[in-house]
Amino acid sequence: MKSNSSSEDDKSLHELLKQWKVEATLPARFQERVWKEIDRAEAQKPQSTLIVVARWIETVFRRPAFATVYVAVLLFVGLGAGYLQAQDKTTQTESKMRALYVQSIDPYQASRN
Amino acid sequence: MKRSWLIILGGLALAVCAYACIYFGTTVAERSVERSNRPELAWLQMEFQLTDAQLTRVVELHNAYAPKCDEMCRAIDAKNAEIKRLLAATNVITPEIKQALAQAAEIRAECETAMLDHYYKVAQTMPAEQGRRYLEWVQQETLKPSKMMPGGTQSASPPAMP
Repeated sequence: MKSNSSSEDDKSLHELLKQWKVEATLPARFQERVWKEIDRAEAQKPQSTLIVVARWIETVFRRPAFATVYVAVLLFVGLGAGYLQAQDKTTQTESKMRALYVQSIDPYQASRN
Repeated sequence: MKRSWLIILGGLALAVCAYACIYFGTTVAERSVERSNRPELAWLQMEFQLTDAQLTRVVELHNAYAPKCDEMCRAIDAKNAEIKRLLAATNVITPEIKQALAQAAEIRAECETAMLDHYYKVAQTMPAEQGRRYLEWVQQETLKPSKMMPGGTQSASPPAMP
């Protein structure tokens, strides 16, 4: 009996709530203000260095000019490093091979193992 | 955010590719020489622009000369050991020391003759200009007084091609 009465009360409450209409309007630029408030709260929150760096990187690399210069510099560095290493390798190999040849024909310079 | 990291990583990848292309592209010959069975002769072919036929002939001459070179090495080492022993046993010049030094000089003359003979044969196998370069370089490397000690000094480059 008690459960029938409570369910009838719930039903009438439900009907009453359905009739309640909110006529108030949101203040002007409400959403914008909410997001600003969220940004402000987040800005005040202490952030890890990693996040700060990541955000800085994102900001900087949004600029096409910076991204182009970055890629161009890296390309130049790669080419330059490859060239210098190749020159070094060539010089070392030539020096080593000259010495090997001379050691193979000159008893006075042959390696004594 | 993804775009930024794509640019960063893409730039690094591009730099690595550029490095690899330049390095491996320009050291093809050197790495090939190092991998050869006879790297010193592979270098000779590259340096003096020998054809395969010329290289084959140089290899034949080299192989024919090698036993003579080994024999010279043994004779030089034996004579040096004898001189060292004689010098350690006294503090004056003895007739034995004089004789040993004279014999060492004979060995040196015989060695230089054999070397020169080999150099001329190898130079005649090469194109004229390359043969001239080879002779100039190899004589500079082996017949100058500073080079005539066992364990020699560092080699210099052959003269540049005109």
